[in-house]
Amino acid sequence: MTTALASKPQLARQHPLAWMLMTRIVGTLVVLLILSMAVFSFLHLAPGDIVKTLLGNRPASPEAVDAIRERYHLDDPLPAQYLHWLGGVLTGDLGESIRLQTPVAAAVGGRLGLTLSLCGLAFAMALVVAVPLGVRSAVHAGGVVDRLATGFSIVGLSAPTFAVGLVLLYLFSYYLPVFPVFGAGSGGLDTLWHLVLPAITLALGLGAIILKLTRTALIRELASDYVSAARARGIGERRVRRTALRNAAIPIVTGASLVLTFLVGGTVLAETTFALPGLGTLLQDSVLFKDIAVVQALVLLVAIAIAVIALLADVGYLMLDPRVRRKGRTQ
Amino acid sequence: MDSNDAVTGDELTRALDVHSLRILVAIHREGSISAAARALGFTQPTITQHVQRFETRLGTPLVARTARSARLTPAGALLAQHAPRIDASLTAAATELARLLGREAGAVRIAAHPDLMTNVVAPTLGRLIAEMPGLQLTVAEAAADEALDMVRDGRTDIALITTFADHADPATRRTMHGLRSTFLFGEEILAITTSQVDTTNGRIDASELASLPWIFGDGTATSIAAERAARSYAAGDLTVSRTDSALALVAQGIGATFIAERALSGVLAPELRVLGLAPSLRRRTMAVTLREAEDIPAVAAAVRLLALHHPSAVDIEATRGSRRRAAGQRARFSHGLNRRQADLGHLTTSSRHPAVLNVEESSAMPSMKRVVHIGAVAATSAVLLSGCTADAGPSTGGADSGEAIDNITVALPGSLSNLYVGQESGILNFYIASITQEGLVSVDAQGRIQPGLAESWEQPDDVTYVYQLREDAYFQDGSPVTADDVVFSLQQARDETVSPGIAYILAGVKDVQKTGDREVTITLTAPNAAFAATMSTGGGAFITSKAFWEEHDGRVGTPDSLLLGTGPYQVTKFIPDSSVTFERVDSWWGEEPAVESITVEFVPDESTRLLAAQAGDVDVAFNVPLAQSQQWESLDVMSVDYTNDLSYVGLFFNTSLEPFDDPKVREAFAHAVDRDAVVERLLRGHGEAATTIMTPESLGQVYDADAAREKLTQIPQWEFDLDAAKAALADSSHPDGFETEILTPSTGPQLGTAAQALAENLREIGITLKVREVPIEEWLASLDASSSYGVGLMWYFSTLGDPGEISGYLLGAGNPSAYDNPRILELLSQAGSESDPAARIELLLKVETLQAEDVVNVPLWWGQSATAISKDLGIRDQSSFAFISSWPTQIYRTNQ
Repeated sequence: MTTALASKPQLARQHPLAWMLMTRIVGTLVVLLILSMAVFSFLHLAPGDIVKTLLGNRPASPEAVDAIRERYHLDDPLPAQYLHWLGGVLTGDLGESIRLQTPVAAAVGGRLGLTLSLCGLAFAMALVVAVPLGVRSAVHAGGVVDRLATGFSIVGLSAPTFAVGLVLLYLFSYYLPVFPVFGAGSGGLDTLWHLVLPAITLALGLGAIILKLTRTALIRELASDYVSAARARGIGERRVRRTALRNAAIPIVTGASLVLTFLVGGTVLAETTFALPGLGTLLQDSVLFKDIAVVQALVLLVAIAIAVIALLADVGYLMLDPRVRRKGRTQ
Repeated sequence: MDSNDAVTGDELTRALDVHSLRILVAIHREGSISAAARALGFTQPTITQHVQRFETRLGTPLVARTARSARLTPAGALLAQHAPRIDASLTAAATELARLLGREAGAVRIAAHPDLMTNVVAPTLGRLIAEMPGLQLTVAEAAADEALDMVRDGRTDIALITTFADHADPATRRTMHGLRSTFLFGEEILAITTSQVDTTNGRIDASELASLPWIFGDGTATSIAAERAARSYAAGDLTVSRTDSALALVAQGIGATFIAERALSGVLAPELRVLGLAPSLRRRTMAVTLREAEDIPAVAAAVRLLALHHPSAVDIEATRGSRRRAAGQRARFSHGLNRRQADLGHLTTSSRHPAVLNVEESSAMPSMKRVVHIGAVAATSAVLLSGCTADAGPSTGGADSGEAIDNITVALPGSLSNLYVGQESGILNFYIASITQEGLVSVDAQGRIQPGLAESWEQPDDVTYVYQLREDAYFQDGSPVTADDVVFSLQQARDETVSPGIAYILAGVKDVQKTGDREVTITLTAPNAAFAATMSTGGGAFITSKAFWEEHDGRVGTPDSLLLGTGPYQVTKFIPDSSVTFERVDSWWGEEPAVESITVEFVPDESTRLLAAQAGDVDVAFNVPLAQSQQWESLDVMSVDYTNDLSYVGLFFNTSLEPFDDPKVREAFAHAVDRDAVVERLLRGHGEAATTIMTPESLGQVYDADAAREKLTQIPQWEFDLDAAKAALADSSHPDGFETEILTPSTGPQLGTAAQALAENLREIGITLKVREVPIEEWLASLDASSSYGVGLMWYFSTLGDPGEISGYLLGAGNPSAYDNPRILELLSQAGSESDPAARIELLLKVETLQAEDVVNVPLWWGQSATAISKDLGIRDQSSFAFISSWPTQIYRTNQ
């Protein structure tokens, strides 16, 4: 430990990226540990009783209740239960889902792909539409496109996900039967086809935020002195805009990465509306069931995803902004 | 008995050797010592000497010799009877030893009906040789009974035989003691003719061909068809000994013959018409071995390959045609024409009386049991008709068109976490597991008990039930259902850690034992009149294979392990939160159902489910929310069927909590309940104001619908009367009112609105009732005497339909009301052991009267479930009990 401490500043000076990675990983691990404890205790306090849920609305003898509590170690003190779980996780065993009677890894693994594809598709759609639209709105602020885009983003932000989903279903599955109504399809392109409407549903809210961010950031940049100076020197409008967009990119990237982490919550609603077997519904059902092992695994997974996204955004700054790079080197 | 000659069992065992036993078997078979010697390849004196030495060793004569022949003495016959199994066990041991020592060797002897040689034996042997090079193969042709005898005598390892599902074949009906049969495949018997008879969907009633000369003989199934059509051998009929001869004769325009589907592939002349039979006649092919021979690797491999091999079937008009038509039907429904069609359909439905409809169907039903069954349904349909307060009649659809159905899609309002009912036991779990699993018994439309996996049972005394298993029951993997499997399944169901959801049902079981090859005996700790029904899939009997359970280490019902049962459909895929798929199997003992595959989709969002139905993607939707029922009813493609679902909704009080420990407070609540308004306005008439905890349907064994309701209104009632409520509250310990909270489950929004209505009424008398809708898990946790809620809503789905089921839970020991009335406990235990149903109901009515006086439970309504069914489908036997038996077998395509 002491050697590591002694070597820190040196590492920080010579390899700023490695230093950043290392501090991030250590920080993330600490956050994960605290988070797992918090989730574990909160879930324990939450209403509901897993034994009652398993037994259902039926008479139960005290012996039956005891046998079930015994089987799932529910009589152990809370710290012992937590350590039991933690011990498993550290040895690579995420535990067993009481609700599904399958290993947690299998339950999560089986749904991860679908949720990742859904989030990826929604994020890509949002970026592809919102960024160019935001740029155009900023350049011609107050124009027709700008006003339309503003209206669209207000709708996107304020319309609830399930309502958007239902409207899309009515339009594109019933009146104009282009897309399937529900389900995840049979894999491959069929699944992609099934994911189009849910992805649009999610992308709408996401795109609205990115559009707003892009527009605001770019307008600010376009109003700044260096743009006036560049224009005064007769530099072409296209080149001016490119420079401005590059400077506006940092807030856009920050905003987009933040928004991406919110997607995880949004998937619950989209998955319910479109009957998709994804992580959102798994998380919801597991929380209600108090299926602690699954909840813990999912919470940690989401936390890790957020940490990775934040890290990628930071790396993105390094690539986008030469000043950040230089600062890192001279420190 | 001389003490000198007395030989102990141990010495006897040492005196036995397999060679001597083989000689005895040969003598028994051949009938003389010389013939036996020839068969074994020894000289006659050698055998004679050997037998004499053997007799000396055992100290008893084994062979009785006469001048020309030799017969076994009873002692000899006994040994000869055991010999083949001992031989098989030794062979198994020797083969395993050979494998251990690296000297792989083996031999398989197969005896099969000549019909099965080309399409079954030959292809399998090819694969067997490829898999186990160096294997010695012996094949013999033999008729079914002869082949079985060969297996029993140890002359062959595997007998391939065919049987008919509902045909009493003496060879196979004989007890298969010590034998193990594995189901290989099932096939239809088809009629072959050149005559231009009219058919419906490529199917024909065999009696319509009766006037033609029929071609009988080996290689045909004409004699069975004749028996079914009640046609005797007529002048002009021919008899041949080969399939191709029969076909050649028919091809020349001579009469008709009946041949199994698989025997036809590749031998059909183009001028022949191949027709399905209506009703269909099915033949099943099985491999029979000695139990001991299962362990011989070569034999096991041969049986496995036989089970894997499915000979190709011919492309028959009967199924192909109906498939195309079914697709056409679908296509029409999804396009513009549908509205007019649907209206027509509605007319025919409402103008038809259900009883008439069922009688029509019964004429097409072959088996006695089914006819009885349908008679019962007609009665229940009438019961349900009068039970419906609204004018919605039982919309079972039009008449059966007899068409095959490729696939039906069933949409459920939520996902199942696990398919095994023991693990998750919501009402929908019961519905879904009943597609693939069976109990020892089944429950018919009137709630009466019918045979299931057990073909008969008896009750020698109050606490003992003896079940005889059917011989023709197989798991969907082809393995036979044994008494061990049944005992094992019930043991698992009794274990509360393995099966928390159903263990309570079997709590009164003391012991489950195998008492015979096909006999299971269940002993109870105390007499229980409701026990018989618990051996169905509405109770706790979900029979599965022990081998399957152990292979998956008890984790069954998951996406990896799925479920293995004996029902007509096999689970092929399960994706939680997405879907379950089922495929029809031909190993089921009952008649083949019309539906080929079932897809169960989980659609949690009700609006999405409605939209999917609107788009024509859904054939059956369970538990349509009552709030949305009008939208479902207005769909062009679906009809909605309301059936009393044996559920009970009522208020219950925790008598140990303030202020509900005061009966006057409870009385005030009871007077504030306006049941009629709730049923009328909130449930839109789809329910019935309840006067008791037990449902009228649970009295079905003794009383018809009207009599049952009349019985149940005799219980003292607390009428809706706010003045009386006010007066009661004024007399109570809380004359100025109080504030309390009630939880309602989010899965039952109608409970929430009913609680709101109650809160409105209570406000007028000064009580503030806060209604909080919570996830079902939180609501479940509140249904306990130890919870802090003084008043709660009970919502109980009975699956057994037993009159004592719900009151036993709500008032018996450990009830959620913390209510302790010794008189009630005594009456409940009397009712538990009372075997006369009518007397039992009287006792339970006394219980209801006592509890009504104490106001512990205030019944609100008996529920109805709305099931939406596609208008081109119908369900026979639609009743309160329909979905806890093999319900997809009751689905048919209407001829609209």
